[in-house]
Amino acid sequence: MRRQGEEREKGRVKGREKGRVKGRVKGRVKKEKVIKLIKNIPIFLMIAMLSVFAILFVILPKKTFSETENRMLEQFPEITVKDIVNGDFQKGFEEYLSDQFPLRDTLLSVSVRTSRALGNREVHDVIYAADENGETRLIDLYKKPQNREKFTNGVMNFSGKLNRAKVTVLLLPTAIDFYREELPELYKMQDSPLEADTLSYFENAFGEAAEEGSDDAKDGNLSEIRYVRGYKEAALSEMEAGHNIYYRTDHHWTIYGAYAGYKALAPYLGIPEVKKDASCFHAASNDFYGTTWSKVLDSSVSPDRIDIYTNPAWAGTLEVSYEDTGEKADSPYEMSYVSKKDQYSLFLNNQHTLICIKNPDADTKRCDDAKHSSLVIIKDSYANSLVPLLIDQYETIWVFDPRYYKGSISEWVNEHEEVEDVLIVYNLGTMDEDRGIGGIY
Amino acid sequence: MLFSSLVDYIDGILLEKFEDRPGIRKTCLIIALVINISILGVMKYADFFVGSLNAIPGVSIPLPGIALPIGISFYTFQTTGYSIDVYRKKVKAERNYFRYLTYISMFSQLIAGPIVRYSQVSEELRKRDANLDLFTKGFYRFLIGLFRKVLIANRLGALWDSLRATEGLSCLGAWLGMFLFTLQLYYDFSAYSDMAIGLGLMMGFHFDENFRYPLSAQSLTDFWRRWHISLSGWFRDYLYIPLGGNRHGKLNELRNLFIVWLLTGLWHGASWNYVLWGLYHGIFLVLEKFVYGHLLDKLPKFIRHLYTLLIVVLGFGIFYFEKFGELGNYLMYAFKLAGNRFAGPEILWIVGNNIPLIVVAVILMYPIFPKILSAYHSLREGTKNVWYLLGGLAATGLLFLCLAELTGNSFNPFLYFRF
Repeated sequence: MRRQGEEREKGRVKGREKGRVKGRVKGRVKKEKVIKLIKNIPIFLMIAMLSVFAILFVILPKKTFSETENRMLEQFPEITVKDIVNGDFQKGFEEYLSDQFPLRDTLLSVSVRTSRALGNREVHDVIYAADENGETRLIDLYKKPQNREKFTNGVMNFSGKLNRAKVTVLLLPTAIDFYREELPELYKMQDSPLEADTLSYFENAFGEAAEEGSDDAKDGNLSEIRYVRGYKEAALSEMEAGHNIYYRTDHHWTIYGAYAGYKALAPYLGIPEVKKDASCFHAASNDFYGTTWSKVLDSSVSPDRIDIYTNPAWAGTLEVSYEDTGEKADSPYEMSYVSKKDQYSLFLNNQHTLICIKNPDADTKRCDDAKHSSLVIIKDSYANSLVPLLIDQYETIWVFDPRYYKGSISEWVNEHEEVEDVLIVYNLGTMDEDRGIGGIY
Repeated sequence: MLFSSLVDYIDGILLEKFEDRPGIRKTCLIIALVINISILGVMKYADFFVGSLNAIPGVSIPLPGIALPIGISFYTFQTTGYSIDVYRKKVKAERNYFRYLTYISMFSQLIAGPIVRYSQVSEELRKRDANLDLFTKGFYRFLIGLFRKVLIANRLGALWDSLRATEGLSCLGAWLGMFLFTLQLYYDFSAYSDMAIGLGLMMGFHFDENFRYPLSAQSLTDFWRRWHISLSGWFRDYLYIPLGGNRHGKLNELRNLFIVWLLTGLWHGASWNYVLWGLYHGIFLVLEKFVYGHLLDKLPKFIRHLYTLLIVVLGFGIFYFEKFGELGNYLMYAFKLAGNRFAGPEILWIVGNNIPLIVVAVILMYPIFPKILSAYHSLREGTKNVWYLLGGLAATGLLFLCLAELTGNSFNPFLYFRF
């Protein structure tokens, strides 16, 4: 009996142990499952991240215009058999995808910041420099223009077609050579003043043309082209006076750069070299982020100040007419742009095909005593800050944007006999992208 | 692609049907080969041949200008290889056309390889297990490819572009440029293989490795055992050996090597520089084999490696420029014949701005990762899990960076579409 009981007892213990082991195995399997789940958390995270972007892409409304980049965004491309076969559709779709990608700006700035954190001083063709106060200055890399011959020939042909008016050409370098001292040490070591090369190319090309011109002028074939030298010296002296001649976050020159341009122009146009009243310069905005900044969207860079030039004498008499839209204004500035992203557009109200500025109180007296009261300007966006400085000296200024003006500007000038001077203003940095060059004829 | 795979599908069945009639089998195979090769020839090389003919004075034929279908070089080689394998009775013909089409058009490797042999996947086409473990393994493999492509190759490409655009490039700068391009090509191309292998794993397919750290090679022969393995394997098995390989004397062997390398070059693109590149490699391989190979073995490892890198880097210099004029110009700079300096500041600017990128790219040329993996496998289970999780989290961060990078640089041309 005792033995039986013992055995029964043994059996019971065995059974209990069996159960415990079973429980332990079950526990271990469960534990392994949990570990496996935890191990794969990153995979779930990544799939979730991709899905979030995909969902956002589908549900977010598609934008047509990017304020930060100041350009139209790609829309869903049209589906045609032809476009699919030659690959245009696929290309269009890729561009559409990248333009409309959710959180595009945030992602861009993440990529720029990573690059910067890894020690890169050049991101998306923008060089990080530091001005004397240690503030970041963003400078666009200068690339040699491919359009040099096209531009020179275009201007010469244009000049040759004019009956009476004389052409003055003002070509403007970008910031990079002026702020060489502020560039990173490693970049400075590269002794490639590319931009100076381009400038001397134009100097030579137009210098020769002027000589040819003097011969041909006798036959009445070509009118003389005046190529403006001296901007560099004027700009350097503005810099010495403590002015910022180029924006730190934009590819344009400031009003002080434009003033240097004005000074360089003065001897060629016969206008007074120095503005009487320096107090006419004052701030219009303190929170300007320009196009160079838009390439990097780096919020660690402090914003720019926009200064403008206004003459109190303009009040009540100045008339600015935007011929394409029919708008009229009493100032060359459209201050509503200050509250938008694209603040540089406050100069001459962004882009207009043709603008007419009338100033009945203009001082038209010239050194040679001749009366030069009408000026035609053919230009890119650099000239938008220069025009206000010229208002005091001309009763009428016509501003052409050859990108949009459909028609021959030379014919227009010949029809308006009162025009003695045509001023052509371009900067070297955007010459390749500027479709306007073909519009000068 | 549909047509070309149909040809080889039917061919495979015919080859099996006439199992005991060698004459018919041979004809079938030849027909299939002729069709395959002429499709590739017309699609990819028509412009090239016509252009080359036009170079002869007095000849002027308009260029056909045919758009290149994606992956044509890859799938033609796959279908051709299949037909030959069936002919050799190495594999059984596939009866199910859709299954065959799946093999040819498997999207993961269609664009840029590897060239998968039918024998590798024939089993898995029928029955494969796709499970969570394989899926995660494949997913991580895919991510590795993505990181290599987006975070390394694309960035290296930008550096190469900017060096090439430098005026008055110095001699060392030109070599740095070619080296960066070599790195870019390696990371770009092997990244596609990584992604293809990863996607394959996710679906339960096992493809062979296509790259085994080629830039760490000790000789050019070694390099070709490690670079684009599936292509050199294809040429070896379907061209070099059928031509007689090294069995009929040295002269025949030389001829066979010459043909193989000429075609290897041409496979990479329809342009003379690729031919030159193939022959360049062929010549060095022949030299290694017959002339100085045994001397090379006696040199220290480091020197052998340097010798290999120099030849490979210069080779990819030739590979890059499709126009001989540009190639000549660039080589003038590389050999200091253009009156340029030996070393210039552009090197410091490029390197100084990208130290982490270049350091990582150079380190990953060498088989570091397998060592890390084996160290990982010798860890205790618990520690292993922690590292696995940390690695995964790092990958999550890198994936986010990839997205940022891709959106940041909307400009992202794919290098290997030309093949």
